[in-house]
Amino acid sequence: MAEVKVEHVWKFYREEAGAGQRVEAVKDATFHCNDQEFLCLLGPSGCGKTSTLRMIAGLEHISRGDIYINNRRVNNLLPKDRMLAMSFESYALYPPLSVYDNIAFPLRARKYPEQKIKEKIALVADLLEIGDILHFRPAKLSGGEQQRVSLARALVREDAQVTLMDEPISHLDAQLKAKLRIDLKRIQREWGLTVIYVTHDQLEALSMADKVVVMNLGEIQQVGTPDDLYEKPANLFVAGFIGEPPMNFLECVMVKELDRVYLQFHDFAFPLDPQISQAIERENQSNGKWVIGIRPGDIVLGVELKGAYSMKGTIYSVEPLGESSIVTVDVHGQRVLVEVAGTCAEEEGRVVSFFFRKEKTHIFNALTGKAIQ
Amino acid sequence: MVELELRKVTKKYGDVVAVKDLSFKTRKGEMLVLLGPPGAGKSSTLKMIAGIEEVTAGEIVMDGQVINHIDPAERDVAMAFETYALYPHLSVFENIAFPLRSPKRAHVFSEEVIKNKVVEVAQFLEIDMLLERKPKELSGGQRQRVSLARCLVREPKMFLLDEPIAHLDAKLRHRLRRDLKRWQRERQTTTVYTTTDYLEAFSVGDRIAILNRGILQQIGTWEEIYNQPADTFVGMIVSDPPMNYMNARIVHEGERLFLEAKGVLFRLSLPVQEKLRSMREEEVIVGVFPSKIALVEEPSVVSSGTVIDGVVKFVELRGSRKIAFVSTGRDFNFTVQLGVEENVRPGDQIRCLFGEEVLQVFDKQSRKNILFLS
Repeated sequence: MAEVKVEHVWKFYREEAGAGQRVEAVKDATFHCNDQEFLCLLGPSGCGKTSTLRMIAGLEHISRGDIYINNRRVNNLLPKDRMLAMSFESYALYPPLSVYDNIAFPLRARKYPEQKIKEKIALVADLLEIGDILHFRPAKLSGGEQQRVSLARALVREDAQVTLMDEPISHLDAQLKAKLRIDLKRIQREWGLTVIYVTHDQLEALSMADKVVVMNLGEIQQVGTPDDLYEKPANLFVAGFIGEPPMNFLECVMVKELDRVYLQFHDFAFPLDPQISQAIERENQSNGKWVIGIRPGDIVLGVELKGAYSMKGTIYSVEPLGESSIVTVDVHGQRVLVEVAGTCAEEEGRVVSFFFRKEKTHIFNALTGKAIQ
Repeated sequence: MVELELRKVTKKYGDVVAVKDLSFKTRKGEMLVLLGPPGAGKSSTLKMIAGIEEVTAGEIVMDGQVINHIDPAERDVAMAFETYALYPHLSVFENIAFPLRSPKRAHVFSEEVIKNKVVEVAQFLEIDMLLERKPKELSGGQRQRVSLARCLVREPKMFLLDEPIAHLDAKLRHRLRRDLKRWQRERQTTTVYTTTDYLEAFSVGDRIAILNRGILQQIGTWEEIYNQPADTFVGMIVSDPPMNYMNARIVHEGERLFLEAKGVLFRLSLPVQEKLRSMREEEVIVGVFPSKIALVEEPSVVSSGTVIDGVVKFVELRGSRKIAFVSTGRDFNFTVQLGVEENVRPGDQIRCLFGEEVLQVFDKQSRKNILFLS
């Protein structure tokens, strides 16, 4: 059993130049990683995800709050006593040792028999495609190879309670990345590993994680399954960060006519269902400004959808992407992206109508950024 | 608008061959993309065109004139480097304005014109608020855009763009992928552009040249490449997840030909059967893109193609689509791309249709596509 609980954790740094001004890298973070769960900490650079991971690892002091591993408070435990395996973005390999000896290092430290070590390394080297560089020194390796060795060293540690990984595949080329995403997920499941994984790449998080913790500017934005984040983003940040191509946002004003509430974008008015308009009217913090969000894949071009919202614009560009195309439509200077399956015969400059279903429409408070659920 | 031609160009660094016998010709005003993994020879090719790397063998020809020995500054090409190469002591504004002030310029620009040009390109690349800063105060993505701006601010005969948007965040990359293409098309400047990302290549390129280990694998429009991948490498690099491959054997049943792989008999279209009839070997490789495998309802009767049943091992969510990893239990696994609305879960039985028109067949030795060999 391995379980990690992060409870109201903060990380402050004192700014060097500023007169004692405090930089808050992590603000009141709370989340749980269950046994055999693959948890991703996701966010842009500087969001606090790496600081959070380093506090779990014991490499950074916890400014405030508590971290528990298997219900044991570990705030004051040394990293080596936390029973963790780690693979970091800065590879931290031992330069005088060969790749083989680097990977064997944590196993030898734990007195594994050499035969067992050999078997484990063969398995992990095969998986990470480093079988032919095992006798090299780290200095001879490319960045991508060093990263795979670092990953191998973390994966051979089956005694570890929790495996921590910081951007372990970010330096690899697209093909190897795609392969490793699948392999890492498979190993994690087959070996029953509990993994906390830091990445800035939403695709890695969506494709591998059981649970994702999205962070921005030191604060947790949302905790949920990949489906939750994609289908029900809690705020504008999550909505814009998850999904590629990114979600379209239309800044609207609320209009009330007779008993009906509308959100209006230029000359397009979107009537709201009663539950949503009630929720909107209860919010008094928005100055009547709201944002409508629609994913490019949820918009249908040209073919009318009964009962759906409709808009009209001019085709600005058509990008072929093989199995799909991205069509950009200009609506009063706002660019709306539409993802179309297959090839698109539309021509630039043509005026087109497009449609999206109410239930696929996300509505956010423009001031607080919060989603109306 | 210039026309660029490479004739059997080779580049060696010591014993290492970075580019081998590379020949291609751009059209006037075209955006040609060099697509390949790291180490494919893309940057070396650009540097030879720019004149900052010597050509080991072969000729580089611009508008009919061999330019191998022409000084880089005389070639009038603008290059954006992946490594940025900014002047650290100059502000962003001065870095971008630099080529406009160069003494080698044919015409001298007034300060007002320089300012207008710098601001225009800075706004286009969303760095207009950074013009007073020094390079060291910028993030990697911002530096990349300054380097790109310094290139785009000119009106050269050619643009050479080396992975110009590789280090930008997803949102900006999406916008620039689209708008760089427009910028280039409006100016009709012949451009060679490199990337490791096939989506970017398809999106910006009028044509795409695919390189692997210094060798040209295929050149064509995205439709040509996607519908007729020249070899197994191309099938791997223009699809994510890569094309599914399996070893297969040609089977004769009377006049009809089938391909047999792991106990599955693939039905083939008549033209494919004709192509295979002339083959001497029996062993081939069958390839199918994950996006071209269809789910079919059960029970169903299909008049063409091949139906394969399997169990979903796991599902990868990719935003607007899903990738299912399917196992048939006969040591035969493949990936299928599904819409996000398909409710498929690990453990589910699914039935997949491999249409006759989506099968590609590759030679086992050369790994070339048999169906499009002339």
